[in-house]
Amino acid sequence: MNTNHIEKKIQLKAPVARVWRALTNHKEFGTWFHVALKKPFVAGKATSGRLTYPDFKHPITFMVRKIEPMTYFAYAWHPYAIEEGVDYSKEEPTLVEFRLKENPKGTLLTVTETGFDKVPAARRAEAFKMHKGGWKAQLDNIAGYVATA
Amino acid sequence: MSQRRSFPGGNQAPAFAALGDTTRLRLIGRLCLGGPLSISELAQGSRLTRQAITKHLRVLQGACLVESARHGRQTLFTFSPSPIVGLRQYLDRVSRQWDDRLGRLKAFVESDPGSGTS
Repeated sequence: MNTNHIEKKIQLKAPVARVWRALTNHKEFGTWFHVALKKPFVAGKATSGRLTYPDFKHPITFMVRKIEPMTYFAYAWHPYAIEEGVDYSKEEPTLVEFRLKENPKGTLLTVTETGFDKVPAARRAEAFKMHKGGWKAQLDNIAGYVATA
Repeated sequence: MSQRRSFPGGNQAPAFAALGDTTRLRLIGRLCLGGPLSISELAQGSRLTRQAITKHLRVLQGACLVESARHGRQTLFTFSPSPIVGLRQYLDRVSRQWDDRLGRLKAFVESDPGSGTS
């Protein structure tokens, strides 16, 4: 696994124009992404809103980098910027890119997210920390097991 | 980060190999519960000699599972899987989020596929 790069490909049974609208119309984007964006996506500008998961309403900002109609849409953001009261704006964002390609089945969509090496190590370790209790419990079990073995 | 690059492609074999030993598992267990600990502390109540403990700690350090820091005249050891596991878990999480989102996007555009030109 490349530690600086995530790439996903998905085949969508819908025309490119449909997918394009779902990606770049901020209201449609918000429907499937689960975010309530106040302003449309405009290249070079930021738009923000809160996530709309029932138990998850953190504010999130999309800094739109480039919009090339029907083919390419890119924004920068702070992945996993979910702690209230933390200023993520000084951290290096990651770049999310959507590429659309028409094919006989509809649209092949490729999503890449890059730049994770710039995310501070402390933040990267967060996911692990949440898990540390699990590790500790496991090791308690192991320690208990080997102590009696 | 240079150390972590010695595990290309997420090869966890060195870590598993290091953990595949009862004595080292016991050391890890003690460090996890009570770390940071010195070699003397680790030797207390153990049948192992300090030399044997040092040898095992070196193997664990080689797999990035234990870190050491000088503290006055002592060297203290702590359990630390996070250098390897942290980044992977972070990316796994971001990756899973994308899977979920793209699944929702697929359902969204395919439920109304014909209206793209409007």
